[in-house]
Amino acid sequence: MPSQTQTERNARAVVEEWFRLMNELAKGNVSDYLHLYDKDTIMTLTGQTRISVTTRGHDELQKFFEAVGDTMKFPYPDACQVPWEVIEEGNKIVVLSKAHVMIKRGVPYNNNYFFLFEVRNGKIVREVEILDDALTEVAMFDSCLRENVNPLPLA
Amino acid sequence: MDTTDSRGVVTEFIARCNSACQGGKTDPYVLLDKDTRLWVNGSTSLSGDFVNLDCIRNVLVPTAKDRIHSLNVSIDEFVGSGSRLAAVLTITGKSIDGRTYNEERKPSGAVFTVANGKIREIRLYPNTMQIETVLYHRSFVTNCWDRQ
Repeated sequence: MPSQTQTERNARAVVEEWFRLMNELAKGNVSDYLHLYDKDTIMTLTGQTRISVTTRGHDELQKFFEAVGDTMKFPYPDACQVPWEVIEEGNKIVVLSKAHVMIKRGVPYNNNYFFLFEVRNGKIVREVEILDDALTEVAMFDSCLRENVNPLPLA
Repeated sequence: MDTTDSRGVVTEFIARCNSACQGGKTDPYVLLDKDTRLWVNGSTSLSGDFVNLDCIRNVLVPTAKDRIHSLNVSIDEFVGSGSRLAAVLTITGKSIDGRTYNEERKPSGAVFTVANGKIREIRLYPNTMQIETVLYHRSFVTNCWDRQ
């Protein structure tokens, strides 16, 4: 197992702090998270949900987090995002994690996440969040899946 | 095994998958261990935990072929060293009725375990809404609970 470089230790510390802050944010205990991000940070929530987006800079990122908070109706005192594997290389870190939260209308939201963080000078310059967007759409937007009749021509 | 070899195995596996999806003769399975585990995020018809090569070959692949006409996977970047590495992928394709999967080229995530020149585990994080809507013609209906 190669020893961690200073760059990797610094990057990992930033990402660990990100997870701690996000859990506190969901609980309603913190409101300041932008200091973890570079002013030109690029954040992508992938998928086709109504909140899937690529933001550039602090202002767009803050609007995104406000939209998430409004959608989910923060706070959630029992919310927890649990990282269970970290794969790192230099200033890039991939984290696999699982969310544990009961949405307020009683829907469990246990999404599985693939996060990619790129950290430079102690700040997140890029974040890519890949998840089960179908679950996000159903749980957060009060949606359900409808089967369409005769979707394919018969052979 | 060093990073270069692991990445080489994964890169070759993806190339073989792409070739096979376009009717080529290359065999991607030779780079999978017989106990390869493939986990696909979500609750779609293609999601689940496929616990060995037989499950992948006999359950997942035929299920996917039922809906997928063509598929292309490109590796955008690797992260990691040694036998465990992550990759950001762009997966695009056509359904059997000509719909485009992931027209916007949004990223997917994957994690691989490679040992002795074979892939032992794949964890795949695809765009699940695209699977439901493009491949299975399902719709997401808002406020459905209120109407039931």
